Amino acid sequence: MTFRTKLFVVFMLALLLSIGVVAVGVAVVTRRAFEESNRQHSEALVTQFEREFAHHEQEVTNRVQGVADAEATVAMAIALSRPKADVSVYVNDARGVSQSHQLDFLDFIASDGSIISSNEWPARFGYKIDWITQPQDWSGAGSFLMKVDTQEGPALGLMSVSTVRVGDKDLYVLGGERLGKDFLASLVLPEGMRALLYLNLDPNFQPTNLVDEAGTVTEGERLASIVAEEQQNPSKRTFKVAWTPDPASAEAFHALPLLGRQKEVLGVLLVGSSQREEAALERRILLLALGVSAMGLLFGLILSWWGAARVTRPVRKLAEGAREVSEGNWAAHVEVRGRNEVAQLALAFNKMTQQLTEQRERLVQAERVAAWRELARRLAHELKNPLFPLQTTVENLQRAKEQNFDQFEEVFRESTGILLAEIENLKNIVGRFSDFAKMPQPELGPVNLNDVVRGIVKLFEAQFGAVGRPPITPELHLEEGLPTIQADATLLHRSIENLVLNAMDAMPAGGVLMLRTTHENGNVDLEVSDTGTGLTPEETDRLFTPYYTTKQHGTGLGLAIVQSVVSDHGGRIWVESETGVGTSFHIRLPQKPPQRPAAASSPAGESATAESAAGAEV
Amino acid sequence: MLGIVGRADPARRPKYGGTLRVEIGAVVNSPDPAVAAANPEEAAAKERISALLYERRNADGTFAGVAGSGPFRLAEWDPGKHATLAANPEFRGGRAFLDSIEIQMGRAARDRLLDLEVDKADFAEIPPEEARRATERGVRVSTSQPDELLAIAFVAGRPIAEDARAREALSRSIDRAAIVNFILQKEGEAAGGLLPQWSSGTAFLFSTTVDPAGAKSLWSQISGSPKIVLGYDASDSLAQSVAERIVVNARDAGISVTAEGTPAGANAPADCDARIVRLPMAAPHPAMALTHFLAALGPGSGIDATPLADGASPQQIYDRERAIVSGYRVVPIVWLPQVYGLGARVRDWKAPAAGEGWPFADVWIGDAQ
Amino acid sequence: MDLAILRQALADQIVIRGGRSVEDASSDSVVQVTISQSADGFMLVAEIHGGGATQTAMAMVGHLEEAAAQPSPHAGIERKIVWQQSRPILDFGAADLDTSHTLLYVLGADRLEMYESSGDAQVLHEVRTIARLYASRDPRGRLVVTDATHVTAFVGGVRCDSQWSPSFAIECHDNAGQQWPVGPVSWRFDPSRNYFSGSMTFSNSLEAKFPAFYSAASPSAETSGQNNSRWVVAGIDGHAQLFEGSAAAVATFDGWGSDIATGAPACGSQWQVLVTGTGDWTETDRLQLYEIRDHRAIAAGQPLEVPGPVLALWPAADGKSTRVVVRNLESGLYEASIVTVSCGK
Repeated sequence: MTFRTKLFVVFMLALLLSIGVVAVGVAVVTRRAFEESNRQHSEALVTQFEREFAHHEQEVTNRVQGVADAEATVAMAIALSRPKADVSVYVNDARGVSQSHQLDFLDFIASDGSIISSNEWPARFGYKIDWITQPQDWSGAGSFLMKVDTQEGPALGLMSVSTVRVGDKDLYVLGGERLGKDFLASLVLPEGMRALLYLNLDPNFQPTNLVDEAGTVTEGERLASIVAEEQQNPSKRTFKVAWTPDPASAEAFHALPLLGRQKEVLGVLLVGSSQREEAALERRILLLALGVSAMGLLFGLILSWWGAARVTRPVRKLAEGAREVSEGNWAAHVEVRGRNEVAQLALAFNKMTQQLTEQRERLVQAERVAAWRELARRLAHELKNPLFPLQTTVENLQRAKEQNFDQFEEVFRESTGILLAEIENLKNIVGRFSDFAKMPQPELGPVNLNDVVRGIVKLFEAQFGAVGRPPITPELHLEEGLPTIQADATLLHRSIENLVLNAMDAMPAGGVLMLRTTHENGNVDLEVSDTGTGLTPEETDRLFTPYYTTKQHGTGLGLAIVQSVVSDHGGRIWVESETGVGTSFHIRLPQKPPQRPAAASSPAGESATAESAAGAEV
Repeated sequence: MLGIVGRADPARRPKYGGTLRVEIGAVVNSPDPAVAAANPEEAAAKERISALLYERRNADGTFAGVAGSGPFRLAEWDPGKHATLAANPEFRGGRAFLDSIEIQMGRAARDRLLDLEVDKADFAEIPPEEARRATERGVRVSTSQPDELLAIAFVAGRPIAEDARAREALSRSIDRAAIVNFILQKEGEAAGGLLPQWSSGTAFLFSTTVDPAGAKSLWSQISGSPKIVLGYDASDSLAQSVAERIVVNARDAGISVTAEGTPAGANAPADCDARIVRLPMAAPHPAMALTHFLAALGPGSGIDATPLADGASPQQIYDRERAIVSGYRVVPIVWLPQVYGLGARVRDWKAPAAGEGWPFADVWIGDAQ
Repeated sequence: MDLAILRQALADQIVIRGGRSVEDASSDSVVQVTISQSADGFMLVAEIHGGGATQTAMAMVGHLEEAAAQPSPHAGIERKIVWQQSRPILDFGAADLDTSHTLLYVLGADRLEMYESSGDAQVLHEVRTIARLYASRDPRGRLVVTDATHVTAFVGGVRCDSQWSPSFAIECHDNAGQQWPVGPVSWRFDPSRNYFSGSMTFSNSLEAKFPAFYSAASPSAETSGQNNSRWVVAGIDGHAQLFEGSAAAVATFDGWGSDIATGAPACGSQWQVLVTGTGDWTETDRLQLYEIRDHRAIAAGQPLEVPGPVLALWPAADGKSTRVVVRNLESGLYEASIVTVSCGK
């Protein structure tokens, strides 16, 4: 991931986080605000209902009192107070009076508690209602809830009792209003709210007893548990019901128990507030928030991308420059804008590359000088060896001609032989230098490195156990299934050969030559290790410098050639060594070498002028 | 004294002339006795109108002679709405005092009462339970001997109806006195037997006392969760009130009874175990009345409808009546009188005896006071 | 009905049949006897409770019919029932056959009956059917009993005269003119209706025309028969009007019934008229005496209440009493009675 991408991601994450926090915060706050508003609304409604209920109670009390105060009722009471009064005359009175006073329930009850006339159950005349005679005084008792027996079955009524006393006889007027759908319809409820009434007239929950202003409520069973709870433990409580999986269908309820005179639960009023609006509004807010967030994210995305690009541009330039430098273009230059840290970094980078370039140039020059010097030394050394015998031989010839003319022929013959051999030697030295100077480009093909290693070991097998030489034990740790690599088999063979030869040279007293192949991450690794004398760190640093050698003999080009070959294959070679322990050469080759790199400004390249120098093994 | 309770009017010998304005609740579509009536109410009204048009009856109760041979002739007929009868001057029993009778049909009881009060009608039948109220409102009221039996007839073949304990339990649970006093406003008599006291002279031998304990004991002997479906004519408010009261009485005795109203004229619904029936007396004589009751109850009651022998003695009549009542397939409840409301102009009205029609031939119109 | 008498009669019958009455109530059986009335009449119903069961026995007693006449207890106006029966009575009259036998003629709507009374017993002697020419819903008739063997009946548009040879018979013929003699005056009757047309024919053959009336009274019409007599007519319009020798009424009396007749003239010189009371034939009636004085009708004495409507009111031939037919609403019987007025009450 690039820095720009990282920065962009960080920007986006930060933005997302911020937006997310804000959105969640808004949602939470909104929801809480709605819930609070809803709660207040519901509480207000409950309070309103309680007020209305109290108003109804008073109305019922007034109406019943109105019946008791009516002339006809007083006349009835007077007539019934006489001995042997005929109550049958009044058996049908309740119906007409209840209609005129808008009462659903009305009973005229004699002093002994027997029903004189009943509107809700006309056939019950004569039957007794004992409880009505219990209180001595009904005035001030107000209204109360009661289970009323009617012809059609039990009903819930808001009732009141008034008495008309004549002498020592009381005429009781028991009247009231039915609590049911009509009562609910009389309540003024705001939009989105409704009232349900459960008539607790049966021991078990009966869905048909749950009514709203339209009649029986469908899916009333959903509220059975709430009703049961109220029956067990009557108190005001709130709860929510989700009618469908859609949150908009949810409804918040306030449950109010309706208690009778004996504090028994006669009904449960459920004031419901639809959550549809809240859910819709929430959804709208959410959608808006999402929209804004998306817009913000998009904007942020663009801005972040632009910002990241802008911020990372100098860094990218720096990175590009660094990459160029890593690729060898030490003259990479980064544009400097501004004066911030990045600009300063760019400046520093430019300075660094400049210095690097200069240093490299100096180094190159120095290396070139050193290489020239080394080459000159090696040349001098190499050439000196054959040149001395040449000189000696020529001097011998001169001497022989001058001093020993009769042996001159023989001396001449011997000397010319020596001269030719040494000239041949010189030619070899020149040839090797020439080879190094003109290293061929590898011709790639599939190569199994294990096969190459095995071939090389077999080639040197005889030399490992040569007579008169301490034995060298080869150890092969070749990974099975090593993937083939694209390489020039010949060049590779020569390079590994060089390494083996070097290892053998590093173990004059014998030892172990270990060859290991592995592969990892698309690369094939070869390790050539010996248990020789090892190298010092300084030797290690200069090991791959052309013409550098630790041997007495050699051109010092072997490892340089190996390095060159490895480099041409897109690989890498490094060495690990410890004096007295041994040395390990590591070669890493890609399975598919990259594009042929540009002509490297390597000492070997730059020292094209040294091509004429003969290649020699280090 | 049976007669008229009302305002005193100046005496007159019967005066000829005038039109009697009659209002009835029934809707009579055809005056022809051969055309069947749609419901019992229409049948009764048709019977009364026909009695004015025909000279006499045969022994079997059918009308003899031709229409118009009676004290009145049919002058105008608007089916179901209105009829005008004109006095027949050729009637052998003497021309009626009235010139004509105007009959308005299909008038509700409340409207009939109102019309009597405001003198828009001269004659109307009043439900017995409204008699007291009518009197209080100043209407002249004439009440006959109780000549119509309100009873429960069990439907033969119904499982609960076939259980004698259930039938007897229901009978014992009924508080007849309360029905007479409250629902009928004392216009009527509790009925323990099938014949009223004035007819048979033995009605006092049949108990009318309510016995909820006995009823409960009998009912508890019946296994399962039995119940009785009691049907009544939905257009008959008295039957409905009585049925509802029976439901309440039965409940006290632990008997489960539900009352179901059926449209007028419809047969009892298939799920009714018993029904409230009205049995008007066809004749004052107990034997004839009893025979007619048995025929009216029909084979669906499960009662032996063999007529009594001609000249049956009071003991035979009583024994037959006792046998029927003891079976409880028909449970007498109350005896109802016929109650008539009379306008201020009506003179010489005498409530007809059981089985007799309206005695309009003897009625005359005087001056309203 | 005297229950004590009845109870004794029952006890006597039980004893006659071998039983005996005991005071001890701890007996095996208890018999409860109820006197009941049915459509057919009275009956005795016995319930025998014993052995856990109840048996019944019943016997008809029959109707109370044609019982002996009872004297009216009222003073001032006294009514004495001479005959009562279940069939309608339009008029009646009695004549002594001899010192110990009296014949009572009873006129019905379509028959004439003759009863012979001896002591308290009255025996139906003869019945003759009258073939009427007209049938009226409210039939009226008049019987003129000249003596024990001569009676004339006016009913249904015919006039029937009795004959005794060879046996009691009546001969009826169309009473053309429909004149009904009331003393020396004849009233013209409308046979298809129940009232008089208003035309009166006096003994001097002069006629007077009054409004149609049900009945009329005059203080001296029975004796003088003059057409200039004073008359009170009970009109069919419901008003009673006083005429004094002219066609115009000089006074109108309201609240009078349809039947009036002159009362006994023995009470002073004032003209007293016996008048029926208010109410139609479904209600009881009464007889009130009025003095006609100075064009006014002044009630004299207390009225006599009768147990039903007065259906006929005819002055007796001797002018000393009035024949009254009342239908007893309780018993349903038609009561033929003689009403006399005692003065000073």
